[in-house]
Amino acid sequence: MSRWSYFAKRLVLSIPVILFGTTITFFVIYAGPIDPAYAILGSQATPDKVADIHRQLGMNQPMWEMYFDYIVDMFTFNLGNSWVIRPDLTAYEVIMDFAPRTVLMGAWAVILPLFVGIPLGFYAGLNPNTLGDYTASFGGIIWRAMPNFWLAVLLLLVLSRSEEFLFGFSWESFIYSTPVAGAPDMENIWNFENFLRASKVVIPGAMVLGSASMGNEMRIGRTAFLEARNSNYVEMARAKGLPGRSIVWKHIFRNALIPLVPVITAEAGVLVGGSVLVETVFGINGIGWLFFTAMTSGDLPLAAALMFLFILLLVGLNILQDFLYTIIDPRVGFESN
Amino acid sequence: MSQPEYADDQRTGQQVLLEVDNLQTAFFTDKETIRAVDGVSFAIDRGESVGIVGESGSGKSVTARSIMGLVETPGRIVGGSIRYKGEDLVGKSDEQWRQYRGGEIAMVFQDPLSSLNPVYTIGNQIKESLRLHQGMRGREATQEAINLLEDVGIPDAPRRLKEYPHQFSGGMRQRAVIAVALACDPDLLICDEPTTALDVTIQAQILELLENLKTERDLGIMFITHDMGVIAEISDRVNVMYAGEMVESAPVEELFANPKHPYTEGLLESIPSRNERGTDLATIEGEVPTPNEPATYCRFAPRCPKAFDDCEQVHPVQVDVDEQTPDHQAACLLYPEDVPQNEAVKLHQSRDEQAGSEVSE
Repeated sequence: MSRWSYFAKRLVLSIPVILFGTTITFFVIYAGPIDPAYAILGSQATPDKVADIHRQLGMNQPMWEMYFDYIVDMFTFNLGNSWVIRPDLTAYEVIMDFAPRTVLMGAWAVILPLFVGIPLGFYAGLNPNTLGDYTASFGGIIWRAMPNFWLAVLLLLVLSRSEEFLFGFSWESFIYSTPVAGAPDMENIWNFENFLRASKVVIPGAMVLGSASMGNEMRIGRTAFLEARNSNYVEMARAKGLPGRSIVWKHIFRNALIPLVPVITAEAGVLVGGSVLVETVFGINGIGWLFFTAMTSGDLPLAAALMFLFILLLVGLNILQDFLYTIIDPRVGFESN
Repeated sequence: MSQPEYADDQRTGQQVLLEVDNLQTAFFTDKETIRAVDGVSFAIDRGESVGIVGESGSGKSVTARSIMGLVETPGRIVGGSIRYKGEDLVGKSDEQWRQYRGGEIAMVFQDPLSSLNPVYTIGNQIKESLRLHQGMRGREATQEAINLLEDVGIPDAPRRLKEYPHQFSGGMRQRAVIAVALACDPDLLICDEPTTALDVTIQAQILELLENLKTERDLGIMFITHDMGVIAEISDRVNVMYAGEMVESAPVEELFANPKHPYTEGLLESIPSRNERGTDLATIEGEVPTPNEPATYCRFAPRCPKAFDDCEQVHPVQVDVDEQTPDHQAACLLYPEDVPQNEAVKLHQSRDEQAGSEVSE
């Protein structure tokens, strides 16, 4: 089987995975114990009013009918209306209102470890057992060992009193004057100044979110580069008389990326879960915060729509991973007889 | 197989291709200093194939890597000279040494399964050598790569060029590795156990291929193996290594007919096909010691059936085994054969002291 037919097979297989995930989501959310009527009515709930709300929301229909409606709606991207949080808006509009902040933070949370963790691992792997390697490895282990929630609180504490802790350096007035925590202003985000301003607000959160990934990428990157450096094909490349630069970039780099691909994409998936916690601590009103609120307040269509988007995101990341594998490693899809 | 007359002409007439003299390579660890190569000397001519044979850990591969300048820390060359076309390579910087790798001295490695980079096509890896050493690009390089693959006996070369190493069988991969080495257009080819990982039938094909390439391209070949059968097949001259030292050196027919050093005798007796069916295969008891101190005695003595008291006291040096065969040297106190025992011992003693004072100067 060639590389690309392997990739096509993975692509087709992702459809049943999405269907399965969406089905589970439906049963967990709609057949679960959460009754949105009580969330909407609050203390004024009477059996009559509850039944009334159920009828309005279409919750008195048979389960299978609701299921088919839900699946068809999801697959046609008809995400329904928000019931509780913003009853006047569709789920799509609510999500689009909250998503940009999370996307910005998530992007930084992926990019920071990618451009710090991997180069550090790269350096450590190519110069093993030197002072630089020990420093980078030790830093990676510490960084990796700090739990998200603890690091988030600590960072918030240090940054909000940065003059005291960082020898007069003021984070609040650094480059732009911004609050330490809170939701970034996402108006006119394509303007460079606005982008920097918003980025500065989400970067502490992104650092916390990316901390574990950065440590992982550094550690695994170090191993991968070290292994490739000591491999026989690199020795053969040296015996050919290739200059050091092309040995590192042509022969070591591409092989070392192979074990790093699943680490990077898996970490990107972890961000979805981590964003709930980090957004709460830093007060960034994003998707994570929205999902948590939708679940606790019984806004079922909004929660279900978000779950569906998370499923798409994770399946998409897996497809991206397969795609990267297919590009980097020609052995993908090869079955020896 | 060998042509001693021709080789002698070359030796007197022009420069020897490679001349290794008293090479010493050591590995420095916290615990000890391991003298992996401890005073090795040999020479290789154009069109000549020199075998280096010995057990695992005798320093064969380190010798090869020393010549390539590929000894990694904590190892380094601590003494002796490696004269290639008259130029001493010892003491050159890595960048200077790189000018010799590939284009002058190429190497074929032991394990063809891992010697090729798995993420690039065979063609890519051959053309990389062609571009680097012969300045070929584009269509010209592709054509030359096809020629090379055909030269090493890979059928359907234009298609195979676009394939990846994992699509090749073991024997085909070793051929591809040889093609990559040849693409550098070297004058000296170092083969580090190139047939060890292969089936016996494939082994024979690869040996035949190397033999042909040697004649066609007038290559000097340094062939490392622990397999006496392979050595008999490929080499013109054989050097036997033991614990970092060269213990015997002779033309291949002479060595197999009249092995002089007790270690060589032991090696030959442990070849299954040379022994009669039904008799127990002879083995050499014990194992190769780690050479972690300067030799002041014979390192083979503890395992040697012919050892006597002086073997523990005197370090043997390479001497001619007798006057009739000047091409045959052994580092053993039993030789020269035509001199009385105690005189031979004295000869070794005085020569060793002389060598020792030369090094300390």
